[in-house]
Amino acid sequence: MLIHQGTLEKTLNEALSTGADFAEIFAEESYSSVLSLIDSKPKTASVGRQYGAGIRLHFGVEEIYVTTNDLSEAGLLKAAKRAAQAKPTGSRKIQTQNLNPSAPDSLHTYGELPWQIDRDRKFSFLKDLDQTSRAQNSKVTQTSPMLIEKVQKVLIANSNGLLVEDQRNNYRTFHEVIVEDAGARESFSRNYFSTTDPVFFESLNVMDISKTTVDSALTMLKAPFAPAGEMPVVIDNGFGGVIFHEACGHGLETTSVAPKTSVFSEELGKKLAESCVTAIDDGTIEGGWGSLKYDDEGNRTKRTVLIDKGVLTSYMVDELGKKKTGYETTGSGRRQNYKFAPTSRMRNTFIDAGASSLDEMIKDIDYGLYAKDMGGGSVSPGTGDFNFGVREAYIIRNGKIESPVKGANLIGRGIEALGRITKVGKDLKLAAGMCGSVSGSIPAAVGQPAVLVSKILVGGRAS
Amino acid sequence: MNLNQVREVFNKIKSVAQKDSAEVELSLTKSESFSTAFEKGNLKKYSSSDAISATVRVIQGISEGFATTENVSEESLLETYREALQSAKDLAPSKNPNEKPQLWSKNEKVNLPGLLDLGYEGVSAEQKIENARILEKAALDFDSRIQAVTYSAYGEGKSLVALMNSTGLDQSYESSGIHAYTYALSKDGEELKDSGVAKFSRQYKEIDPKKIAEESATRALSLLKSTQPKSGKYPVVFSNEVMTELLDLLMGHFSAKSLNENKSLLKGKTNEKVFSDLLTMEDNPLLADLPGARPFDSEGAGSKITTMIENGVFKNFLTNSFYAKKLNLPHTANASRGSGEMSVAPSNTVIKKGKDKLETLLAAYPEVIYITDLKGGLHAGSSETTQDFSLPAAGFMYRDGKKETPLDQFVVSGNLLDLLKRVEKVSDRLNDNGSSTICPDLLVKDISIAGAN
Repeated sequence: MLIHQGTLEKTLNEALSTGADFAEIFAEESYSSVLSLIDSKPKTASVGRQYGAGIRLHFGVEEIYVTTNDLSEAGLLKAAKRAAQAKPTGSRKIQTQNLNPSAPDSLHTYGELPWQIDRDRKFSFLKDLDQTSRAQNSKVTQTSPMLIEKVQKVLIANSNGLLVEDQRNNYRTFHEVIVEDAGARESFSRNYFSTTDPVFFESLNVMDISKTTVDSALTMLKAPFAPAGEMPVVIDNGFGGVIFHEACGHGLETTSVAPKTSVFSEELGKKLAESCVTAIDDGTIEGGWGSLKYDDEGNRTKRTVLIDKGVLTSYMVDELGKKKTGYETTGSGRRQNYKFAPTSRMRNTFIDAGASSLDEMIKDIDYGLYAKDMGGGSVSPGTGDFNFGVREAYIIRNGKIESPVKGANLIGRGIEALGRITKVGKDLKLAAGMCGSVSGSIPAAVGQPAVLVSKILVGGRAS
Repeated sequence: MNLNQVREVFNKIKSVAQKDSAEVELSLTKSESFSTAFEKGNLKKYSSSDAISATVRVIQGISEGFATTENVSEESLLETYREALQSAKDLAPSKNPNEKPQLWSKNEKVNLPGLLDLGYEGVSAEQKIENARILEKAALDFDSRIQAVTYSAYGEGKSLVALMNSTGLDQSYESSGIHAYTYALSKDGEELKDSGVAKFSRQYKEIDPKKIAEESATRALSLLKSTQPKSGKYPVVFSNEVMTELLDLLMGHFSAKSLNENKSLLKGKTNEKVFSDLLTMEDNPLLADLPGARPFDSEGAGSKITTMIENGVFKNFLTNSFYAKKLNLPHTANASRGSGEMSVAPSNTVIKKGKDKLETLLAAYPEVIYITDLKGGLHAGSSETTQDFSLPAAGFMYRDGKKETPLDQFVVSGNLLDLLKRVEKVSDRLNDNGSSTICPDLLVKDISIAGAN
């Protein structure tokens, strides 16, 4: 155990000394590594180790959070005292209950760990990716393949007697190619992940990754700018789910619902979307990029149906969100690391499979956009205004996917856009991403089948 | 562990490195920070952080390796040294024998008075909590149409950066800063608008919570009753704050590392006219009031000012010692510790102000769109590779120099390099929002706006 149980109890009791009604320790020891290639040669092989703890206190709904890198008993007691002294005038109300250790994680398997794998194997994969990509077309002028590894060991204990140890493995490969022709330049990237196997990259199809990445870059290199204006848009599956993540997901976190700074704050139980739309945030999917057995407050994660056949049925709730709203926790308390207090966050969030085919969605559109591959997005939960970039898009004309266009950006307002999803496809697919918010950057999956949004503002170039 | 104890451990690491025929460098960052925020009148957050982190850089032969740890015990630092050495060994076969990295050997810390100002330590904890309360309350009290404050906080912190290496270099500096921000949400009927104000200062007395909150409320209110502009091409004034956000997209292209990796769009353009005559831009780490100030860069080289653009002519890439030597470029002391390498990064970026008043820019054409807010992050609608951007924005329509309706639900698109080439007027007004990029307002015509059909 990263910290002795007796030290945990002493620390929690010290933290409770001025009248807090809840105390928690989140301790962490993490390994991270980045390996990269540039100009077809190994460029970096770095290792980082994070080591520290956050001590959190609740006085009602007021939250105190103190961090330290000193995990000795003296260091933790000092940090606990610092936290307690933030409210120096009160006196003890409760003692920590006996800590009751929970069973270790079974969602991620702990076979080999990344530092046990020879770097030559990893560089060999990156070199293969580089060479295969360059062999696709002479217009490829640079590649930046990368392997990012993280193993996070956490210990969470709180004054209610909870004691959880957990390990999260996140392995990712990111591959970017740059193509150039006649002075024009374009880049395209893809990423692949595993939460279980550090040599997952050996089972990837390098030829397929290289070909599709280079093809997409070349397609966009030649493409004219997207038109501007409102039009129907078909958003394809996988990372297309970023639309729900941005347009609705963040607004359904109690972090913004509780203070009523979300446009969804007063909408529970209301029908906000067509019946074809069911949306889920699921932390329990085996091997899922955003899956956790325990969230960062030590609660078991759950499968949370957010929207059921168009009706808003649940928010994503953390412990503080529960205190503020009265809703039960959904195992959604998450944080990047010990430096952040947890807040309610998404895990694997997706629109569930529907009944339509991609062809059925396209065929009725006279003029619109087919967004094949999405980029990053962002949202202002207060207004619901969202935007996200489309990395690969095509014009739809007379019911057919026609020519590629670049520089498209989709903007709108969450509830409005949700209500305009009129068809949902059958081909549900999840994709990995990193989500940034008040409690840091966390692995989160997005997903959906192809969906048809009847009208959305496309921010292309005006003529 | 204090700095002297770290030095003792470093001497032990140095001895081990000598036996390994390696040179070693240790960079230590130690910080203390505090922040607090209110939500609906209640204390929402009170955070206090003590943090320490050490990065070990090892050069063995022609190769180098990096490893970082937050556990600065002797045992952990020695293990971190071994990890960095292993990385150097693993990367050695791919290195060019003529490109040996070198440690910086000269202690040449520049004196920067004002970088550390501990005036805030004399202010009571109660007053700082009160500051956070005002940052929310003053916005809510300002007007009944302020529905909520989405984010607000008061924060302060100080940090120590120390650098020591086996050539004998041993230097350090301390800095401090205070930040405060309020983002207010206004509502009128069903219409919601948000906008915010952020400030950074080294001096406590420069932070005025009430003013920040009220300015934030004023901005959020000013965007109400907005209309959607018709799609088309317009003369646009980009506010100084908006320009600082947009400029982030371009900064990587000034890096000699990007040049070396054949990613910079400025390759082969030194001393060429790439930008508007009206633009002069420099990297200035000596402006102590800005967040990017530092007396030396990440490898220890003394900070200096570098002209990047002079009257529209591209003058200099930013370099560290390795890329300066490799690419035969002037050394600008812009080393930055990246992920597993000594990278290059700007410090404070300053575009010089012009002579025109903002009002002159807004009256330059019969119809001008003044963009005051970019909605969402650059990552959600721009390409660093091509400099193309397509971002939702908010602002105002000006007709004959007079403010008309606020504008919303539109997208501004273009190519940043092209935009900076076509700047027609530069205002005499620089932003003061805690950014390390300082910029005036810029007028550019024929900018694509996507709004109503």
